[in-house]
Amino acid sequence: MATPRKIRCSVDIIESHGAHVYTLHLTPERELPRFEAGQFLQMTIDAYDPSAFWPESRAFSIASHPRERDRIEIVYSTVGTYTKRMEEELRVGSEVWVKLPYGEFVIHADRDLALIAGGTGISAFTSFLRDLDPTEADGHRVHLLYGARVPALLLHAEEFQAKAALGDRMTVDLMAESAEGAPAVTQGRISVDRIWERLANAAERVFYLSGPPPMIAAISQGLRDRGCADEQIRIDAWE
Amino acid sequence: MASNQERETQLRREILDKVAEYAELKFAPTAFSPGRDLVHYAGRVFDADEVTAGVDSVLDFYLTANRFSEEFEADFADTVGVSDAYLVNSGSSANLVAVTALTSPKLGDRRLEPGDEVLTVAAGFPTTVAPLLQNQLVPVFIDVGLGDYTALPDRIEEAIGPRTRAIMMAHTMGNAFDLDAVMSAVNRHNLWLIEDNCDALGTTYRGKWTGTFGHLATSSFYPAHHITMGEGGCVMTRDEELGRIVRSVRDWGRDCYCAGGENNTCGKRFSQQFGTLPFGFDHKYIYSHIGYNLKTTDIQAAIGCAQLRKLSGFVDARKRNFQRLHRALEPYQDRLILPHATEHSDPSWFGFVITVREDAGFTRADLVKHLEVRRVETRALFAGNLLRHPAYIDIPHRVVGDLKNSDLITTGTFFIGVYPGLDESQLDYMIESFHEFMKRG
Repeated sequence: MATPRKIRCSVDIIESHGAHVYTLHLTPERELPRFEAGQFLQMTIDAYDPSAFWPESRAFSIASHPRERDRIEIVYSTVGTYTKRMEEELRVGSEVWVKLPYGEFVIHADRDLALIAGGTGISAFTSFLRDLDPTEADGHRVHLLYGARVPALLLHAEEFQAKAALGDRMTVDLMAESAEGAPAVTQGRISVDRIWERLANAAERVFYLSGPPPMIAAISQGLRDRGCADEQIRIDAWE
Repeated sequence: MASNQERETQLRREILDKVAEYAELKFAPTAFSPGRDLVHYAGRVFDADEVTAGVDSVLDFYLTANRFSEEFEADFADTVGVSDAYLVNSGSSANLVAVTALTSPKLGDRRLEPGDEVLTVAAGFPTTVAPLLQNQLVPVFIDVGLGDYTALPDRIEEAIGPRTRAIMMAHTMGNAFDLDAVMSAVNRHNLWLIEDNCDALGTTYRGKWTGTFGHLATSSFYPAHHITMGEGGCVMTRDEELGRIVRSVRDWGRDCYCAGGENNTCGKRFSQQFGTLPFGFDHKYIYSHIGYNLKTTDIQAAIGCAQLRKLSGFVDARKRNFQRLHRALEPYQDRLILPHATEHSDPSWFGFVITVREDAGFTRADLVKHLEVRRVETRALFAGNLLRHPAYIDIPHRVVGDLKNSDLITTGTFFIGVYPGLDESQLDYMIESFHEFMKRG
């Protein structure tokens, strides 16, 4: 892990996806340290004096690409008091501090993969998927199973589908609890059964899981029940 | 009416301005008085920047690692060309952490086990070898060349046995060891490489900084070294897994990577399973290694940050001073072995190493005594043959070939300074001192 650095940023764009889900686009005041797809940052919206203690903060997956060292993208939904404060207090031009990089949830495409994302958990995969070459003939296959409450909250879904259509390497399966008016989205919740239905070699894949804790718990248990070894199950879990 | 924040900022500025004024007065350069002032072999080279940086950190009073440590580690890693740099309290501690890291259970079959052999040299500084013994590893000694003082490349292959698992050697006195030969052995035999780069900050080999070739490398920031923070050192790596282990070994052996004073950076502080501990046991107090506490203070790091900004100039000065001494002493090569760079190496010299030839007609003691009387400071090439020292006589070890040159170094070698604190008049005086000795016949 590169030496973490604390960097002041300004909020450039606040993208609202509805249902209290947002993408924040930040501009750091200096170049970001090197990081890898899947790593996360800590962000505080409180004033920070670098000579003093780091204030209360929250962890967010870095959704922007590791090659982009001059911008940061994170995704959040208002699920607690801190993200509620973010929703209420952050405006374009607001100052925030981030420290990064952290985390070992780094995706290695050295085997066929299945990426399972629930809600804003997609942000842990975004930079990896954006970097993936779907036409690479001898590349390992990548399947994305991505679920949200409604189709509008399937962030970047069209981008990922368009990418998958370019070659045979990548497949995308979108699900929503209510999929009305979205023909490309299957109604229902993501499940291990769904993975087995869609993937012939499901048992041989490495699974990366990112999303709400109940989803992680259910899917990881389901994978173990199907005989997957612990080494096949990589989890981006948060308290 | 100024707010407390504004008053605090203003006071800090006033204090630092006064400190700078004081430092400029207190540490103003003085004219060299030949024969009276000591010509040091090494020393701190600093100005008001370092003094104000140190005071700035004291005014933070965070004490343990904080903004300056973070800045130093990141900037040092960028300067050298590695991904990770971890500050420790000395170069010797850096060596201890680096070797201990390679014994980590997290490395599985690749970990170094007690009784495994590590290839090294006998002529050098003891704490390149001590961490091997402290980790129940067995040093395998090979001899060094005279003039370059690095491992004889043709002995490397010969020295590798069935239990040899690593190479740990210093770029002695700033001179890169033969990295072509070493890397070839590392790759052929799947060995670990630790570069002890404590003497060699700024040295390049085939245009690439030493300290970037090995799995791990170390630096020293003791006052005699290329940059200083008083006591200090660094472990470097480009391998993130090793980086995490290094951090753990340095920080009590703990699994958690939160900085001092921070909590739950990983977001999983109370929701993980380790060993046979109850689920959710506080991650801050979970230990994955038998570790140490070898961290620095932020005050040291603040001074290091100011020094790091001057590194390039320091390296240039060392090279310049070396060339000056070399040119002046070339006429005496019939009696003195002068230092030379190994092939492909562009050394950021630590010192100017001289070996008195056996048939010189005088001894090292004669020449050193003459220089010291004239107040030109000298040092031995560290320990000479380490195996002749009381603490090392009975250590478990293997010697491949002989250590003839290491013994010659013990009796015939010393070095003088090339550090950036030497000015023209001091260099002239050093050279004049050699001329005077040689004229005596």
